[in-house]
Amino acid sequence: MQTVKTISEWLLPCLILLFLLGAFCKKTDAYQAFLDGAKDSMTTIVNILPPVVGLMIAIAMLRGSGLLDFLCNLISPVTAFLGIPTETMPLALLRPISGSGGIAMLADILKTYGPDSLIGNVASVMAGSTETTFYTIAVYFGAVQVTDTRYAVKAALLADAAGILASVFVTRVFVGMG
Amino acid sequence: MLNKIWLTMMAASILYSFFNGTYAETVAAGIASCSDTIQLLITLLGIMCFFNGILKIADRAGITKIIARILQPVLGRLFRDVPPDSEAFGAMTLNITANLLGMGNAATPLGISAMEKLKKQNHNRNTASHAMCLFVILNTSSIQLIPSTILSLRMNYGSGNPFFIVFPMWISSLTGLLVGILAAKFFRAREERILTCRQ
Repeated sequence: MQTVKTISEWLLPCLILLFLLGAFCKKTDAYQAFLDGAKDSMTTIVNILPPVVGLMIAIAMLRGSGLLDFLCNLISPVTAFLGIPTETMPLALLRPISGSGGIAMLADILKTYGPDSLIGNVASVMAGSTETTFYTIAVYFGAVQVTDTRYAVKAALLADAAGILASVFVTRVFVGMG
Repeated sequence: MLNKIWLTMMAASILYSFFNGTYAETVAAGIASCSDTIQLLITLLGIMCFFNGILKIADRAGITKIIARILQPVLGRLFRDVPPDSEAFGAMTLNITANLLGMGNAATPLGISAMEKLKKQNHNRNTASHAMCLFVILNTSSIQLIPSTILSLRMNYGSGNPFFIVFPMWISSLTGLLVGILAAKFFRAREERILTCRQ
């Protein structure tokens, strides 16, 4: 099935054209908007630089020492049973806790196994379909001083688990088609 | 929490390297990763400028408003306890739209303001309302129209088809969200059953 690949490739150019036409019709300054957006990226990168560097060191040392492979081997019977590529498990575990950790771990996986491998594709989908669950819950409930969060954590973690399993399954299906 | 995790990762790596005989490589890998990371972030900055710039154009061109209008009926059905013309509903719609467009910096303040208004509707109790739980779950499922950071990373490592993951990502995000909503409904019903039993 070539269709999936074609649609994904057409998606971005069409979206961009749509946005540009929208700006033209609305007579807004598209160029100025682009500049403002680009400036925001600066702040984002500066903010995530220290945590990403810090976590990258920890991940590189985990991999360099051989401990990461050792731990992956330990859990591989479980992941094999669920059909999850074991190499993506560190990402699944780190992603709900830290956004920068998720970026660092995904970068490490893409570098080690290649972005177009099954592991690389599954890891990309996994990183994109889950969030920094604990952080979001802490910030949102903390900001309004709600102390009893009832079932929010349980339900959000179930959602994460479902998202992780779905990303493995859906990616396998799409890889099979493409 | 992150402190403990980071500390454990670092210390465990070094300890394990003593047994494994990889102590020299371990620290070397840590040091080498620093400049690699800076290079990665510089590439990332370039690609992110592109995506964030384009998304800002979408925002100014009124795409945000169109998405918000599409979302309204869906959110109305999901949040039956929140009146659609209330301030809380407006803030929630804007927050979810910002999340869809991947504007994390704009989404968080909007989300917090929505939470404040939801708390007011809940008579300022310290216990979360069902709407608050659902709203937070929506925010932890992260459905993004264009996942710019992940696309940037894939491009940086030379992917032949960086956009391949967009559709699978939408489907998996939606699956996660659906399970989250169903779980919240289930837990809520269970809590109410326990309450009526006690009475």
